[in-house]
Amino acid sequence: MKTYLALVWLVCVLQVAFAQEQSDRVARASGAHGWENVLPAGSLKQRPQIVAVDRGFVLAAESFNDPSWRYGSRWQLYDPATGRWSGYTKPSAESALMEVSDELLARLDIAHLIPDVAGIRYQYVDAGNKLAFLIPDDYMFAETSFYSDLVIVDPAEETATSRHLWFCEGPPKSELVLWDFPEQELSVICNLVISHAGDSMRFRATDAFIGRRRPSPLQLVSHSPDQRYWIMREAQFYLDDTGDFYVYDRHTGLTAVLLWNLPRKPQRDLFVWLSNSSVLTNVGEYILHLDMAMRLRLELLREQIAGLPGDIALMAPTLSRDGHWLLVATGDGALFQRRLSDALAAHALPDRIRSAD
Amino acid sequence: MRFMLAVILAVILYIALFVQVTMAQAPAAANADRGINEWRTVLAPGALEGRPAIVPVESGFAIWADAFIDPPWSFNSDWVLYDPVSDRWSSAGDPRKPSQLVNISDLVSLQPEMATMFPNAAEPGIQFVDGDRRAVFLADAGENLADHRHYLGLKHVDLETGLITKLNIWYCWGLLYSDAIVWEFPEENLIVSCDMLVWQDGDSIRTEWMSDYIGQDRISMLDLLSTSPDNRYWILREHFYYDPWYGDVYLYDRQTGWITVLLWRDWGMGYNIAAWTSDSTVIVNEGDYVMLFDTESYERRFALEDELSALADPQTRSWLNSNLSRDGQWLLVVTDTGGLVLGNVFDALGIGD
Repeated sequence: MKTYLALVWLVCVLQVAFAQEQSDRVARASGAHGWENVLPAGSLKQRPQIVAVDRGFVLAAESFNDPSWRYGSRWQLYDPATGRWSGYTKPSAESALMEVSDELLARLDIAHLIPDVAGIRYQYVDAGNKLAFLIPDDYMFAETSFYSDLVIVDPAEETATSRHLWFCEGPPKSELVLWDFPEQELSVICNLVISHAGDSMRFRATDAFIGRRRPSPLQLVSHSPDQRYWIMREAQFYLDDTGDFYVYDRHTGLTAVLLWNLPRKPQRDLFVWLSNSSVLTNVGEYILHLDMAMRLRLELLREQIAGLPGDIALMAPTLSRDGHWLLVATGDGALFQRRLSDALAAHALPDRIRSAD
Repeated sequence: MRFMLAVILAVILYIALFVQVTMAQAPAAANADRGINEWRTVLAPGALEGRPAIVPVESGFAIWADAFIDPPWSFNSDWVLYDPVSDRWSSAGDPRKPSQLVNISDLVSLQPEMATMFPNAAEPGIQFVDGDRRAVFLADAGENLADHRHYLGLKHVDLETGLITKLNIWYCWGLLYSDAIVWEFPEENLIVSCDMLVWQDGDSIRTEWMSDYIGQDRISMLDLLSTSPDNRYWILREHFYYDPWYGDVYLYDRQTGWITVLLWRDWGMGYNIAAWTSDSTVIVNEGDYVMLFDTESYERRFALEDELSALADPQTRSWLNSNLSRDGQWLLVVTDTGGLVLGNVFDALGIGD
């Protein structure tokens, strides 16, 4: 019995030692200082599908070269904190816009206020007191959604106010075109700012709101937790990928350039706010850290990303939703990860920023 | 009796003196009570025609003499100078010739051995840079479109080593009325030529597009309009090839790389729009208003919007021809009726002596 137990113990020790050796070998093989090698070269196909989710990153199973990854689920979840992989069911594209249902109509008794249009969708605004209905236009262009009208319904007052929309573009993944800022009774739809002043509503184009004279679509892509800062993206009608990104300070009315016109856009639905005034975004070649209170602009990890193996043009860096991790698929099919806190700490940022990590 | 006469004479003299002093003070008192809502009429309506060229100069404003309907205003010179402080007029030289440009013949007479180095172009613009150790030549392409200027290239001549470096310039926009597109920043061995930055690193010269310098990935033209006295802040203006009057104006902090939108794009904005009152405070003439911008606190203060709006013709909604003085204190405006009025910007902004 003792001999048997000793053998079992020996096997376990050897197994642990082997696993440790394998792990060390992989880490050493990374050859990229400061990066943790998640998957060795050749593991992934070029331009793998990687999406940041709440618990980490999901990779499309078909992005793996090894077919064994493709069974079980279509997506694989990777948790950068634990290094664990698991199956994942990707939720359908979230949309803040909801379908009109009989239940809604019955509950709020607003059927008579809503235009009878197929495919009409809505979103609550004004702290849930009103509903904004978007009436779709037949015309679609690439990722752009066009709406012919906006109708805001106030169930309490039994009123419906219509506003004609010249142009409206919805971000591709969410179909979300409506943002609500109840502290100022303010909501934004496409590039239209709606102020609720008591029972009345006032409309202004976003460009006019921030002081532009010439109408041009400006989309609200993110805002700080306290809603002081708006990140806005300039959009051109015929060239969706063209346009500067701005940070608009709603307190002062000042606008700073966040990013110049880039052919390769950051993930525009992924701006990670570390605090009310500090934001991270993934530009691709680097991670941009902007602190509005200090007017501090840092380009993080540019050299480190460039130092990874493979063609930089084929790299696919993905920032985690909490801003803690950067996952990079390199052109040679490897996968690396890195903690952002190290990069932030290296720039001697104020404690409040570091502590946010 | 003599005493009485002396007293009466003294009283008369005192009264006369009092009246004289009071009358002399009257205009000043009127100005003091004027407030910011009123303009000083410099010329009555009908004095000027069209949109006269007005150039802020060191001692006031130079105005193109042909703009005056009354010929005697020409003062026998092409330009007349208006001094807003003394309210006086005098003849003026051409304000479009900047003082930093030197005549090539003067240079050759001083240093004949340099003659062979100069570009074979008629009167190229020359400016000394790099602590006067180098000269920069802009070779004019001879093509002009409105107030665009095109240049074939830029030549650097090192006056000590005789080394000539030529840089081709794809496109160059010359500042209106200056003929000079070169700005020097000796603290970094940096000069700006059109929208191209030229770095002098020892004996070598490196170039970079302004758009790259501030992080734009796509080449677009940016003009350097103005710099703070300590060269920390640049005011840059975006412009399009076919519409030079169109583009945003940015404030670029060279220390932090932070870029603030100073003015959103608008038409009709000139180049002499900014006047620095300190290293960190600038007054900007937007056309419809003036703005004080503090680059430390990032506070903005606006003024004269209503006053300028009242001057514009509501029917035509035309742009007013407004001109900010170099020190930022005065705004000289040509009204739609051909008059000339002057506003005190410092008073309007609540800053002063």
